[in-house]
Amino acid sequence: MKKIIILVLFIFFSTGCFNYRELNDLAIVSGVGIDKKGDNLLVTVQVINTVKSSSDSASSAGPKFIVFEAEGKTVQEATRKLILNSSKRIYAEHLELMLIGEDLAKDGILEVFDLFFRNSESRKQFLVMVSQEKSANEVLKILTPLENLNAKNIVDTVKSNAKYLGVSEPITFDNMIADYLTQKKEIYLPSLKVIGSENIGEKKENLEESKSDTEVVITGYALFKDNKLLGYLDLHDSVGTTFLNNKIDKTILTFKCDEKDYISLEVTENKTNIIVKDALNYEINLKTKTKINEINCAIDLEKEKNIKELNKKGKEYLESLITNALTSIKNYDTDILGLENLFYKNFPHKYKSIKNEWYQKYFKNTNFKINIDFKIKEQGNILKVTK
Amino acid sequence: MYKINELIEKIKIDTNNNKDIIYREKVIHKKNIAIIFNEPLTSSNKISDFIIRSLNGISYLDIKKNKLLDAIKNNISNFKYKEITKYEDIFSYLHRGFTLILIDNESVILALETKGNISRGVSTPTSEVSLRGPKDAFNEEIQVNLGLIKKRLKTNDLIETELYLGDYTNVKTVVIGIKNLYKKTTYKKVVDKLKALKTNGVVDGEVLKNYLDKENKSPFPTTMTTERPDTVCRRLLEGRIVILIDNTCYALVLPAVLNDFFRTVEDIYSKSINTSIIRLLKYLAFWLALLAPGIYIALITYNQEIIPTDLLISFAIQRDSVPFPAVVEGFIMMIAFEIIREADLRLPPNVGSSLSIVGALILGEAAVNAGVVSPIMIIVIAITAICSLPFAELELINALRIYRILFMLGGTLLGMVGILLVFIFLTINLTSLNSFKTPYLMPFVPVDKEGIKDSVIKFPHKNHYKLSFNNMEKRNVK
Repeated sequence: MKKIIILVLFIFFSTGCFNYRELNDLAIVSGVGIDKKGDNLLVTVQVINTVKSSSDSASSAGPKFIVFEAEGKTVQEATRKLILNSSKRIYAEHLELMLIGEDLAKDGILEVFDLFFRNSESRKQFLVMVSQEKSANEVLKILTPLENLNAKNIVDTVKSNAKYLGVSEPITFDNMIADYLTQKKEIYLPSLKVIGSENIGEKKENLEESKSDTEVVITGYALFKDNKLLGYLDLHDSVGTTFLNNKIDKTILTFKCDEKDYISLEVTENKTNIIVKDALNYEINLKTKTKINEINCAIDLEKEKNIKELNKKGKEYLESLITNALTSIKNYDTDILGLENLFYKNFPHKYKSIKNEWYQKYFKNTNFKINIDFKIKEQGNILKVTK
Repeated sequence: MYKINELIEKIKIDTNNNKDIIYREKVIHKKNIAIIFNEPLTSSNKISDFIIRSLNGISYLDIKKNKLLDAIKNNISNFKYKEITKYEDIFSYLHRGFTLILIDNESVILALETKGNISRGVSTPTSEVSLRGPKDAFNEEIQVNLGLIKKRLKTNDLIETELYLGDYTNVKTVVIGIKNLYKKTTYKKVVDKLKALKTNGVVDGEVLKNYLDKENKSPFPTTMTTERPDTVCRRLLEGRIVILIDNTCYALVLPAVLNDFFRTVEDIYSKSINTSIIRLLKYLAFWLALLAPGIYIALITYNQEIIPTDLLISFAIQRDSVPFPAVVEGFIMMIAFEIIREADLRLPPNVGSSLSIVGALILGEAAVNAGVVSPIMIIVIAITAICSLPFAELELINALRIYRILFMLGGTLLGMVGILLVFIFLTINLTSLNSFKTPYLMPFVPVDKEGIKDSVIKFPHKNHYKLSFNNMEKRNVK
């Protein structure tokens, strides 16, 4: 018995406190921005400010986050250089957002990802986004209202818009890499834009008025081909793309119900299914359930005929939304829908023959047949129009 | 045949001339008798009312017809008397509050029960309070305690063994079980063990508790104490063995397994579904009391990635500017709390309030403001402290404390891996533990279908579950 106790004690004392790190010594990173600066990469790190304020023991003093930046030939070199100006160890396991500057995105993003993919010390579920026009460095410095942490603010915005609007789906790092490497699907990422006056965003003034001077806004998808940025989709096409990718949770369809007035339908349920007929012909089946959220036309909803009429209009509108999105995607000539992969899965033998000519011969000439099973399920609490 | 004077001289020598022993000589119709009693143990009223007055009432005719001894036996109004023939027995009766009557030229000494009332009455339970249960509790008088039990168990099947323990104390100890319900071998083992006890004194049941628990090297208790006669009766009906010790205001119950400490008096009186919720809470409290500080330290010093980001930010801000590592911080608070708890137990109630002021203000508020500890650590220790309190058995709380410290050390040295290691150690400890051949995790491991109905969830039932002994022979435990 005594021997066993001594042995057990030795287990504890033979360790060197491997991996021991006190919370006080960590600089918790919430966002990383990577830009191009000349030949170098500029890495910007948004660190959560955990210095205790003197009055309140549970809140931090000064700005809620602090930004460090460093340059280097590789991401690793730059992140190590960050230690030169940060007193605490950079700790990236709570990373929530990676923002890529437009310039870098145009040159290709895969090389940047290598470190994050290879390294075991960061979690891989952070979102990846592209910053339009402004560099990631500038975006990460902006102080945001509602949510103290800029990176978390952006992530939450993307997530809530994916849930209620469908402009962009949050794409996590691991999914993106997996999609790109294992399936023949091109990268598409949500993007953001800075609107408002220049240079105020990083100052405290930005939070002092009810309407912030500088704001970060989510825009449509950024499309890539061969990991290089091609361009952006507008909001409508982005919603259409989300429909095509079967990632719609809820969204709003607004269209004309008579000559001048509009109706808003909320999509409550949607299922999209793409069926491959052959290399050029695809069938897109949508099953969409909606409810009327707002209606401004003088239509009597008690009559079934009118509902059918609305149903038809809604179906036509959704069809146009999807067709437009498909046209835009085809114009960019990048297969973000994963059609090539879909074809490969359905016809693996035929795929060999078209493999090398997919983009030259096939992708641009694909035809889509769109079948929509569109239903208005609820009319709301009142049947008569208020007007 | 003895002569009074000689015998008295002999007793005086053997009792080292004890001043408390009173010798009163008396003449009844020209015959000498002596009355001997131990003053502090006897009731003077009883002696004067029932013995001396009765003796005075013996008429001359009575003695003429019979012998004096028979006349006394006939006339005395005490309900209980013993005839002593052996010299050695004199002392055991004398020290138990009997009054002895010595008669000249007789071979028998009469011992009459005149015990003084030097115990307090039956009072309400203090450590096991119940809202609806009976309000009587054991006191220091074993006769009263036995009465409280027998009042509830009106049966011929109550098996009792009387023992007198301790060289100097000679304390009456009764081992009780119910025939057909208890396990004979366990009963015999307990009695044999108590008989083999060599000690100079058993003042209180505590010595026996430690003696019976001695084989058990784990901090977890394998005997249970209770001050409630109703609990004792329930345990007896479950087939357990109860030991009553004189001068002890609680009974020892064995075997006791871990699950027993989660069952309280109140459980019986609530609906089973309500009891089940409280049981679940108690089991949760048990694990929280064990693990909370250990896991907190492990997470905050090794596995920060497990904590949700918002919580981590809050932790990080609170930990900022605390000069000590999380472990030291944790131990400071733990030690402070344990000292307060210990002090609170020992202090008289009217001094206790000042203690809570010191505890709450100085240790809570001021320590945080001074930046010595972080508020979150105070929360963790407070949760731990609260969670260790719903158990009535003090020994269990102490066992939890030891393992809590082990978990803290494990978390400090190896993070979650360390917690796991200590957990394995705890599991081995608990599974290898036996309470008088009953596995300590009995209703769970090995599974006892009847007992498990009164464990984490309590099922409604009419009878008392019998403690199952089925699996124990198979396991061949030592």
